[in-house]
Amino acid sequence: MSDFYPQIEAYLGDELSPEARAEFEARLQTDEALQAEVVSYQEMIDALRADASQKEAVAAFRQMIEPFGEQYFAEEPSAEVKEVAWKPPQYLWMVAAAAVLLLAVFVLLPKNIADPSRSVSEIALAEMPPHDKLEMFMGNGDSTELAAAKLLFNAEKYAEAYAPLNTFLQQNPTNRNIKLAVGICLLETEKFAEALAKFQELETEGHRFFKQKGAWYTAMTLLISGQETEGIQRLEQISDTEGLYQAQAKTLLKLLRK
Amino acid sequence: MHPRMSAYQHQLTALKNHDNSFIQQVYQDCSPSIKQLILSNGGSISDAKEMFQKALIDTYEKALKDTFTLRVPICNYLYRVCKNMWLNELRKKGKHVTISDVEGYKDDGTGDVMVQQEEAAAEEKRVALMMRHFHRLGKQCQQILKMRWFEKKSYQVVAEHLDISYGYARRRGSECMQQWRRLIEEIID
Repeated sequence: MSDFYPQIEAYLGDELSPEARAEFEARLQTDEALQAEVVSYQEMIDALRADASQKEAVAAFRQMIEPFGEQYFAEEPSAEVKEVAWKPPQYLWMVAAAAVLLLAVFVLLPKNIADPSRSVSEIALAEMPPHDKLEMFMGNGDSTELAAAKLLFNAEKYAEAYAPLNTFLQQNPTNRNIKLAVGICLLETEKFAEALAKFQELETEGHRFFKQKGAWYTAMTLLISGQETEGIQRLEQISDTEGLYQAQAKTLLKLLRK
Repeated sequence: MHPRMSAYQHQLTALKNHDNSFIQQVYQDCSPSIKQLILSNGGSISDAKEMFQKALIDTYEKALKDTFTLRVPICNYLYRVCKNMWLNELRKKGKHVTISDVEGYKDDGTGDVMVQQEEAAAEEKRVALMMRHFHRLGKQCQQILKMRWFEKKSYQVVAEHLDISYGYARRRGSECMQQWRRLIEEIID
């Protein structure tokens, strides 16, 4: 069969003249052995192309998603979503750094240090990171009502989200995701005592992830509601323990102690 | 609807097209539950990041192939893939092999996801088998075939690049291709 190869290669490499190509294709119609050879080599070429182009594409994709990974899986979550597709040249970083420094000197510094009237509650509110969005499990568990309530929560419409989320929680009292969301709705609508009750329940229920969430939100609620001493004590405990909010607790304590 | 089409196929297309805003949305929407899943089952933030990135790249590789169909929302799919990968990690470390789901997650699509993984895996295996034998060829053979068939260079260019004669490049191209084919057929037969 190797006798066919030069012609097959010229055919697959698109190197035949129109006349030679027509002649080869006419022969292909009737010659089953030739058909099998062509199919076989075409599959090998396809595999080679797929493998090589996939490696290139995957390398580009990996490079593209890396900054998102850094951003969304940071130990200390960033406060806002940043555009990551474009990487500025080195000198722009230096210009940006200088701008940030100037901003810190002329804007932030006077506000935190020269403006002692800024209360603990205001600092805590300003430094509180954005709440995690509620995961949507559409077509896979969420009722229409729950999906609508989650959308309200994710749109930061906490007053409107509270009632349907709380109704769901009463029917599903062990759902800690929703309990956390209900607590956040209460905190955001300044119903501090009720919010504290929800966060403290999460802290005592023994689930590692929600325990840390509960502790953080308890500290934040105490600080925001003016219970400074207790709030700072809770913050110190979080800052001394390895966990989700350790870095944030340390940063906030530094600001509060200035 | 075509049996292979699904309501979520556009998500694969966006992934395949490196759609920056879609990918950012995927991170925003899907990362919290995966973070929670891994942290609740003995892992760290960096484990969660690694699982998520691996699952996303794996989904992207599947998106590049037309044989793969996404039949559940991408967040549910990534969650399931991460859960399977984390379970394997725990097994490798000899740790407990049960894993608790994120609260509120009801897994109605597990079987479907597994079927999709198997379907795509058959095609992947075929290509992987051919490429395994390709990598058994000598370095020069691999270079000639890649330049000839992937980069679509003429034998004249191949010869100049490898500092060999045109005639030798052409003959080696033919020999290498047939050698590769024999290696594949040895296994198939």
